[in-house]
Amino acid sequence: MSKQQSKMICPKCGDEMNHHADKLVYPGSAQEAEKMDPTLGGVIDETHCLPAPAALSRHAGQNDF
Amino acid sequence: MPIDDAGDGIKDPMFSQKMAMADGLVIVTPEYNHSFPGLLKHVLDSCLKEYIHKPAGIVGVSAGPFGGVRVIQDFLPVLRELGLVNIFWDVNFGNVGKVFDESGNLLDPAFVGRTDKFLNELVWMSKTLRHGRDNIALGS
Repeated sequence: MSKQQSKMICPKCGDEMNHHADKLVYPGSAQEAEKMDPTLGGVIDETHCLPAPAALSRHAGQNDF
Repeated sequence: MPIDDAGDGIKDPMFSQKMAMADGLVIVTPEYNHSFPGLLKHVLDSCLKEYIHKPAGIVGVSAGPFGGVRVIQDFLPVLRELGLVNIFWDVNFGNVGKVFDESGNLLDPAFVGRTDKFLNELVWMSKTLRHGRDNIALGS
């Protein structure tokens, strides 16, 4: 994963979120398999945090937003 | 909470919100047959994103002398897979029937200091990981 990516924007408040975690998830369906990173053999599930409580948002794949 | 195996499909909105708001968790668990209660695992499995990169301190409780040390050991892989970070200090209430009276009053003052140490570390970890989640980007 590149170190420089555009920040994820919170769809509720428009603030920038911090990308602080990735998890490799093995695809369980054909739809998920389409998002698979072939070099890792799975889908990267990202976790982003807004600097405010209860503002976590999670995305399946870095190109989904 | 329904007793089926749907994981986050049976997420309780109030529990989810509390976990999302929390910067750290204190998990108090009895030891059942050297492990954790199934219902504790059932509740924890209903969330995931709410926990990631947050600290958890474990308080083990047992009727016998070991104070839940085996449940804590057994619980660590579960915490890790939930994205939680375990802290360095535990509290172990062994012989719990003798540690509290029938009204729930603590009888052994040594637990005050032990719990204070536990909470101090949990707060430190909560602040540190909060700063990281908010400000330090993965791969930066």
